[in-house]
Amino acid sequence: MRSKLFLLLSLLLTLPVSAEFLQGDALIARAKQFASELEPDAHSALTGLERTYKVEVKDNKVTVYGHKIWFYPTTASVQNNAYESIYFNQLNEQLTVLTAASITPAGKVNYVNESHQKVIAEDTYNTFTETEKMIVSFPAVEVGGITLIAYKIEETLTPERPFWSIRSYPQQTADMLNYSFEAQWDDSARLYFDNTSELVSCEQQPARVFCHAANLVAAESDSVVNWGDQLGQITLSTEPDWQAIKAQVRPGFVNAIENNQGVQPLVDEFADSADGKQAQIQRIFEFVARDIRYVSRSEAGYDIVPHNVDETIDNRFGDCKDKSALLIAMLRAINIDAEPVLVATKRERPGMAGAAAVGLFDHVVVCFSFAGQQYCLDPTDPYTQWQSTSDWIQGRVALNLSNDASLTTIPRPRYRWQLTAQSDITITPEGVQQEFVTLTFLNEYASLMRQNMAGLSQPKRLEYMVDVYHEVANEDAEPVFEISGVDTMSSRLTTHSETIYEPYFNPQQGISLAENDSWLRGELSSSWLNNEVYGQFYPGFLVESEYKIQVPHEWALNRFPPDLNLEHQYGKLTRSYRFEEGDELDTLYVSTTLSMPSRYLAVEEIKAFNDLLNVFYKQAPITFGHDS
Amino acid sequence: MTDSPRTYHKVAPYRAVWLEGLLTIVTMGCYLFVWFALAARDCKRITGRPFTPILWFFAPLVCLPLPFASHILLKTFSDIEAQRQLPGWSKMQNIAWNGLFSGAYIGAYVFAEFIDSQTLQFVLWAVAFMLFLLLHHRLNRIRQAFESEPMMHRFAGFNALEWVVGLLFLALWAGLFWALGQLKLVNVETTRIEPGTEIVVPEAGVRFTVNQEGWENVPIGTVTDGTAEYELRGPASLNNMWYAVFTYTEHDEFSEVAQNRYATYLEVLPGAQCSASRSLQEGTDLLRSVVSCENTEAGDKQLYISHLIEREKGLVELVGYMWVAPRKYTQYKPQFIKDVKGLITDEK
Repeated sequence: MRSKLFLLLSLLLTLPVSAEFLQGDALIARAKQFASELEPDAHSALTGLERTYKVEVKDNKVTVYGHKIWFYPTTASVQNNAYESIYFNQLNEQLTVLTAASITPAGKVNYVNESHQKVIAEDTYNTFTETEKMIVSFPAVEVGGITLIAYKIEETLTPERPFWSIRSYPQQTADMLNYSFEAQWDDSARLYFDNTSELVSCEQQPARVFCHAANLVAAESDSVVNWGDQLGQITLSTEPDWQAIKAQVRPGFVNAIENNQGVQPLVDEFADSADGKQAQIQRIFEFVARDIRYVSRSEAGYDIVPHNVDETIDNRFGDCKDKSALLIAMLRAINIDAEPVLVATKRERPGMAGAAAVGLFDHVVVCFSFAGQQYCLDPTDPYTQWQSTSDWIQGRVALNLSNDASLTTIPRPRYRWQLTAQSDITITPEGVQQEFVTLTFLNEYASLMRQNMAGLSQPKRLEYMVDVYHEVANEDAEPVFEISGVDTMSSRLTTHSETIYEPYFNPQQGISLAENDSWLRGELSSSWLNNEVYGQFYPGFLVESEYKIQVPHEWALNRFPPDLNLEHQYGKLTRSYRFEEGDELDTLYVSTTLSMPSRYLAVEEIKAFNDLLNVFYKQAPITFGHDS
Repeated sequence: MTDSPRTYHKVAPYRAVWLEGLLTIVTMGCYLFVWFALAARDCKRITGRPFTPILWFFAPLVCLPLPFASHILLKTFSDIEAQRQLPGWSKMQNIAWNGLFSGAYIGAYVFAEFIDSQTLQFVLWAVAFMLFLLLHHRLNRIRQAFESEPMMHRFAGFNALEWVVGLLFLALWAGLFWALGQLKLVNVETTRIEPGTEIVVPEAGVRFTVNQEGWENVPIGTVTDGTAEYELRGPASLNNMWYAVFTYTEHDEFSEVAQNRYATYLEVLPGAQCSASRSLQEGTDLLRSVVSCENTEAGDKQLYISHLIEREKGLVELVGYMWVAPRKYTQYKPQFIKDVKGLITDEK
């Protein structure tokens, strides 16, 4: 009797804290119940009525049950959101849609059939994860209608792949009235839980966790957002910490790198043509980045394990794991102690990573120290010189597989975008201007411009630069360009242009000129930040502009550009001039430097930052003339 | 040829000391030049010595010959007094008078030109003036000794031209003081500024410190066209030196105003050398601009300087101008510029 009473009490205590996963008629009945309880006009955008996850781990088998019920109050919500995306890994996981249907306002149920479902690859270039996405398009969705879906994803933990994790964001970009997450596991796999969301309340027991929340307001969107860094999340993982992640991933790299019979001959060959260690690194990196083409190769057994280095050399292709393994092997052959580093390309805040999970990462690069400097090379990037860092990994959350460190971030340069502009302008007594401009894009900026032009023919490259000139300097001019540095992996990409401008003023009516420092102004105008809700990282730029302006001596210039020394915590603009008189031509030299170091800007700082850009922007004109 | 006293022409009659002093004051000391010429003329007429009275006019004007001219004049006075057995000054008194008078007179010029201490300058002028009146009293006694001699027609000892000039100057001064009195009635009182005084201009929301002597605030419109919010004038001993505070609305663009100042200064100061710089006010993204132009014209130095400060709503500017002799320019310029650059705005 006492044991029965205890069981009853236990059940009563458990009931309010349990995620009720529904499917079939029960789910439809639940959706209809929600529909009947909805207040007219209470919702003006897509609204989630219920979202439930239930995770069960039993005998090394992980099953994730999920159901979602959505309400569509407007035409826009129907047009934009009447589908469901379910992410899974086809190699290891099995997805089953249990129930999917729409319910019209009149109560008619329209079931989803196989023709309404399709699976597409979610992976993008440069990442190693092999994620697929099932898209379920709900039929016959009407304004005021409802959609519902219930599914399960199953995976069996094996000795070869003993790790598993799930990540759930309670708050999303639509209101959600009911959210619950429940997990329970047996002794076959201990799960580790972490919650960074303040909007849900969770209860943890030794082999069970339950979280729930009600009336979650939609997260505000913004111009640039890494949702993973901004929204709180629930993570559940088989791994206790980041060292365990390393223990899972590192052996694959060790094994792949050990099979390196083909490395030494290549390194010896490069050593003959490269003078010094830096040149050898350059040559090796160019080989791996350019001569080994990128092919996604995350087939079964190789989603986190690279192929053997020799196989990659023979194939001359590989994904980021394969290329990283090869690069490490070759660098080690010249005594550079390079290591693989996992990267989460959509994450910048280690503090928001949640529980340790392999699934956090989608990329791998190679890092090493050389001459006291830390370098991180992305061998899938055929455009960036080895001493620069590919812009898509800068500042991203990273995990070095070869040391004891926890999560870190890939170093960022002080200035991601660096440009020098040299303008040589000669003005005739009639006011005709002949302008020669040399632009040198440096480091990551050279990489970006190279990336934009590499796939173009030579005439198209010239057209591209003319378009850039039109956009930045003068849309009516017809500059003639020469370009160098596109087809190499150097730190510089240089363009030369010559432009003739017809007179736009009459020198007889007075000399008062304003030469816009166009390239400086162009960089400023591209730096405006638009976020209004979330903070934003500013990558930093450095522009050094030199003007040499020659004018007829008889113009007798006596008014020159003001010296600028505009120093602010966000950046600095300086300008100085020098004037030299000649027999026929006088020369005005103007040097301007604009430095805006990279930094994170809290949302409340963004307006002040943009205001400063505006102040600097207004100083772009170089003014000079003759007054008497 | 003997040196015995003879009267070839009429000498000037007794002239009241107070009238002589008044005439000197209203003519701002210029009558002193005439006095020396007349004294020399009368000495020549009494003693027959070959003086050229017109040259004596220049003795106090040029300054440096004054001690020598005074020595000759005093010695001649002593000779006449001995001849006529008049009470006179001893040789030591002559030397003392000459030393004091010439020293005070020349010293006042030196202070005006090099040291610019108006107080000391005034004291020296006063000493010289009193000594002059003493000498005039002595000359009166000599002239009285020749009372029986024929005299020129005078009224109270002064001829018609002297009366006309004296009264004209008196009228001018009276008119000037009246006009100044009227200005004071309708505008701010002119007050002297002690060095190191912080000038607060509430209507413009700015303050700055004047660190040089001789400054005074003046009614608006005194040194500008009346568009300033506040005006200060520099030491009166200099040709021209002033500060003026201007304000601009939020519709006035900072770069345009700064640029206009630059162009304007080049126009009003032919051949000027200019410098222009811009910086950010500390801890803000608001600009400040300093434009200064200087030139040399007719031997004098001119300087215009503008310190323009951007505020969230509108602009405020302190403009300084100086037009002085080169030596004064070197002396005044550094602190003059420093004071302009010290403009502080109390509003953001």
